[in-house]
Amino acid sequence: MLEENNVATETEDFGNSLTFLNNTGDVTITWSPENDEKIKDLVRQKMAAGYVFFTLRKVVIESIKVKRKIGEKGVDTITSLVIEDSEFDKLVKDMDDRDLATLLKDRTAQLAKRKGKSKEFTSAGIAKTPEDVVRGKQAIAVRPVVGG
Amino acid sequence: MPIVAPSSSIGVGQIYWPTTAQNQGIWYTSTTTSSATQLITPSTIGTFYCPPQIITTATTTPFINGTYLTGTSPSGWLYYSAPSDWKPPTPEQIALEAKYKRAQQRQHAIKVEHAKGAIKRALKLMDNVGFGNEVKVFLGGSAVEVSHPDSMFKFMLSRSRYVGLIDKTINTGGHMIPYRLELYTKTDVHVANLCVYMQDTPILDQVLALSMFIRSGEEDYILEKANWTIKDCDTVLRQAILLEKPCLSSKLKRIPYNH
Repeated sequence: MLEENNVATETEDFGNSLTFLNNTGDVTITWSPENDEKIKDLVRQKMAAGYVFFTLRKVVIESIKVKRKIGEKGVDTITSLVIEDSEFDKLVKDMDDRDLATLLKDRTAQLAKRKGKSKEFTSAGIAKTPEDVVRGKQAIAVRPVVGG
Repeated sequence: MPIVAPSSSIGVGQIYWPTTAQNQGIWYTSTTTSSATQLITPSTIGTFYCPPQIITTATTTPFINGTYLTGTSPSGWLYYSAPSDWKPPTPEQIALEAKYKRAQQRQHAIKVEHAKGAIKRALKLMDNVGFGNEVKVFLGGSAVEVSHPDSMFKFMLSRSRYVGLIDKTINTGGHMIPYRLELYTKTDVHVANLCVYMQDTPILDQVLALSMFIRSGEEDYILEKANWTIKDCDTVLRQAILLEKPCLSSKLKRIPYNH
């Protein structure tokens, strides 16, 4: 659905991203700063439901390289993703996370694509608050962990 | 609905088995009782598997190959159980059933394509966060060692040989872990097998999540949530674990001592 060779096209660069590991595989969203609070609400809700959020940080050597390359522009590893309406509808319909689907449908958040290179990131640990997730620029959401 | 053999001779070709007839049995010879769990292998008409339900009586008006069979049934025919108000399927019903089956096959093919996409994205994400080489080993069927430098433990993660990658990407539900997770000390003493998983998450994404917990130094989260399977535990090892991780005392309490 979200493959590079599909109908996806890249648009403007975004800084923040959140990747959800859900039933459809991983879905990455991005948003503009004015929607930070809405994303925090979503994260707060998911944390209460048992989700764990890992913030990511760039590995040191790569950070230096990227900083020189893009200067003041910011982190360029996330781009929003434009897909056909039918693909979008199918993705949202198949998603078993209604909260996330709603944010995507009302355009609070957009689908995004990670452009990261190999070993570019590493986990910076578990976020304690929704603010950590938003401040951390990039994060991965893991569904509740249970004993089998 | 009955079971119908649409081919020109009985049992040759595919048996048409409507979904509405899944609770009906099918057996061979003229016996009037049969266990439907029994594999029936008649020598003259091929091999048939029964649905899992148990059939205890045979009250039928056989309808095979478009013909009603009443009275004394000849040996070598298929029999089936059917409700008293049974009627043979119309050609429209048969066509509808075939259409439904084709639609299901198409839907499955789409799911497989989506699963392949999800696997590809997961691999890319894993590579991005530095787990690319390990996941290749995992997919190859070998055990991957994941640990944190400050921990006394290492986790050996391997793919269960009975688990299909695409299947466990499509079907994310269930309460069984789709991989094998073993806990060792860094001195190679096997401590336990762990059973822990992330709800409704495809297999590779679960592997990624597990590795992130462990590599971030958050392994206690996994150890406390997991169900431990272990036969015994050496007293010295137990004390060493408790000294390092008092939070695991409830897990170790259930394990018998091995002096």
